[in-house]
Amino acid sequence: MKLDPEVLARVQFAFTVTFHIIFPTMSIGLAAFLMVIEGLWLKTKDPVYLEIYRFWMGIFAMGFGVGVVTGIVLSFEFGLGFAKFAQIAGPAIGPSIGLEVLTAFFLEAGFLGIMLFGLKRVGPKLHFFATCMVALGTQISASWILSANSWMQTPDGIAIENGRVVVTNWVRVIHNPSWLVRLPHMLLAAFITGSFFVAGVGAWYLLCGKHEIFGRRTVSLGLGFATVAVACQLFVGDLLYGRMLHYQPSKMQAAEGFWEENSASPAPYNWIVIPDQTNQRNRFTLATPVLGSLWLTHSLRGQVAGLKNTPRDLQPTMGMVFYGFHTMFIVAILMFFIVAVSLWLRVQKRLFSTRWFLRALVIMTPAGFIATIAGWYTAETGRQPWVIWGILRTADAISPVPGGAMLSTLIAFVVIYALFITAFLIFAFRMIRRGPEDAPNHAEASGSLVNALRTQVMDHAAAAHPGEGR
Amino acid sequence: MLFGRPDLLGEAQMSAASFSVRHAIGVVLATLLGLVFFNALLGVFGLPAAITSLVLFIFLAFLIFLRPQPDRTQS
Repeated sequence: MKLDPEVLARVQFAFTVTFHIIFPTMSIGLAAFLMVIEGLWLKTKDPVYLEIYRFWMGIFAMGFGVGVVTGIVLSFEFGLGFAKFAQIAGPAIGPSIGLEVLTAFFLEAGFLGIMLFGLKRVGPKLHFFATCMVALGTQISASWILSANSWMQTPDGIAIENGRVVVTNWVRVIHNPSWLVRLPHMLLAAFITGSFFVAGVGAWYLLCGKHEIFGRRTVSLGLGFATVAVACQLFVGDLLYGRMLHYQPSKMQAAEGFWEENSASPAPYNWIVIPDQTNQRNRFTLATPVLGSLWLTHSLRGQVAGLKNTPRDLQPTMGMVFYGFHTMFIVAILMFFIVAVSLWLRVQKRLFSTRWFLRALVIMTPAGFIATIAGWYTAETGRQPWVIWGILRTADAISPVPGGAMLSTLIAFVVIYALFITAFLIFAFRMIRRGPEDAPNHAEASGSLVNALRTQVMDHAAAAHPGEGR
Repeated sequence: MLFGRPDLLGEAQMSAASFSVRHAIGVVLATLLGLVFFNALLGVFGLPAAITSLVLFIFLAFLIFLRPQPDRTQS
């Protein structure tokens, strides 16, 4: 059997990045949630907030750790699977990734220790500041990565000289045409993911009848954040749709499942299609009449462009893009339904007592992760056959590595990552089952970092000379 | 099993709001309002309407968040 290095390189990157994206999404969402929770605790001194903070900080720390480890692998994979891409695009992509390390990782690394271990060692305000810096770091990190990826989607500010990318305008490389819409889309996705995660766990406690105060507060707060973020996401998602329709029409043509140059008028909205790429048609379509015109063209009779507008050799595979996009969109509809019902139940004062709704929340716990992964599949498969839109084809970006080598590393990644996810799930479920511990109703230290360091030095001295001064 | 089973047998304890015409009308109106907001946020009625509905949605949601919830979990 002949192994195709291109297919294997793509499968390998898809696998590792799919696994990786779960953790930064969770970290960004939970870090923002923790920041708000600690702020509320500082303001109200309500011990439940501290209990919530301590509980979610443990899960955040685990996710953060796995996210960092799995993210490092991706940089190496540029060399392993896509060396020609790294060679050609390095001058534009490399600095963004380097700046992520300098600005975000340094910030996170500097304050993460205080956040995780400083609750009893530094004053509450300094600890809150550390939490804010970690949350800011996660978002700065996302900004640089989104800038690099958006540049691959909508490259700008460069010239091609001797087959290599030469940066002519740094501002336009970073601030490329899709970045400022894709960034809020991703950040909102992370906030929504964190919110549904938190609310789902809280709902599970309420259904089980344990940790009820904690459960009520997390359900309420999680749904509160989700309500605002989902509404913003629908708005931003539509803006992004319009932007990508302009810059990457073939992606959106594939995402909507139309083949003909112009659809019928009014256009239906396709929910399920079985595409036949060879014959450029759908074998089966399940659609709602008129809705396509309404949602995609914002008019009652608008026509939707199909994939035949794009030359065959430049078309993405419709099935991948269509189902990536529709999974994301259908999950978004479900999320909107959940937050809308939550508002209704709040009005009725039945938010914590409606068991079918709490069960739905538990089922929706991983919804944000599913939508985020599906969204990234849309973005990445819809860009094909390009790795840098209009500049470099994926087939031309592959490393000259034998298929066997690529397959063996893919197997190694699958095995190692399976261990990672198993360990993460076991420990996360254990923590959730164990539940929040009772938190003290006051700060456990009230001082500055100097005091904390002094305490640390005294502790060390006491350990080194036991018996002295006691 | 890592993630124990919720108390599914507690169905009998769940809230059973009695059906009434007023309640049904409320549900229908809320659904219609939700549909209007969803489509407005998706830009169906244009960008200004989308921005307006986003602000309005968040404002209404905030007002509803302020509504205190009873402490009981199961009625």
